[in-house]
Amino acid sequence: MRILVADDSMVMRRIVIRTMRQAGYDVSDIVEASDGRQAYETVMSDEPDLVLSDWNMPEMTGIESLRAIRAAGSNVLFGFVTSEGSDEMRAEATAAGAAFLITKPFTADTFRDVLDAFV
Amino acid sequence: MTETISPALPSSVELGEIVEQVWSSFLDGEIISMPGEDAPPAHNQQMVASVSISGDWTGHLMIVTGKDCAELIASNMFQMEPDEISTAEVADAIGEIANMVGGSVKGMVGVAAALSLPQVVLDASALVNLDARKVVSVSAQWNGHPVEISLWERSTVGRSETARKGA
Repeated sequence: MRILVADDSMVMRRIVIRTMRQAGYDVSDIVEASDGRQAYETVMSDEPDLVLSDWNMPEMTGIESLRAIRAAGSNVLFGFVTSEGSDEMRAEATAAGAAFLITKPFTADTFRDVLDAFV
Repeated sequence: MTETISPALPSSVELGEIVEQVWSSFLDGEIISMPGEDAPPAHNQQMVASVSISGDWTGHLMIVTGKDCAELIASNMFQMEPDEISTAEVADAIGEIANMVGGSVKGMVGVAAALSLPQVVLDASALVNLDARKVVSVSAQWNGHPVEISLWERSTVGRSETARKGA
């Protein structure tokens, strides 16, 4: 499974990958993006199976990136991993085509609880 | 000028709980918060990470600690030796801590607002916040290092925000 991890924080990308490994998922095929535009471009070029994306990023936000990905015709499994998780943001994420939203801070159990339904 | 509204801000105990949750998720060793107490000044170069909350309530969440502590935080989060950590990685790590605490605070405040990207000052000998006042703070100790987490409320909104609200 190819996973795209998009976050403007390098340490958070490391932590997301580490947590995926701790949760028992295969992280042998990881691609990374440091902003929303790069995430969009990487989805188009690398065709990942799963996108784990921050919301608040430079260039394009995560939600803008998701909308661009869907507008381009990709149905890639997309979830947010973000420090905010208000009801409004969850509704906005769902409406744009996100499958889930995980709030930071998180644990390996959090990832399993959410991702097992999709992966 | 428009006064910011005063929503229910977290208490120092609640802010301490948010900090403890972030620390326990991503850092080794317990952070011991002492709500209501003033933090002793950092012993060496003071490092500041902040995020802004802008909207129906406007202010900043700031984390202040010393250089040694910030390097230890980065070392913990990257799972690398402290002497392998670059300045950019220190800034990234403490900025992300501020981002996570700020995101939780914004959720607790519960108003329509945007969270900024983190900003980090790596050597702040004296930090003056001209347009904001400290409304909640938590002094804490982590691995023997002082850490102060504080929430600052801006007294006024900027001109661009006033114009947007009026539009």
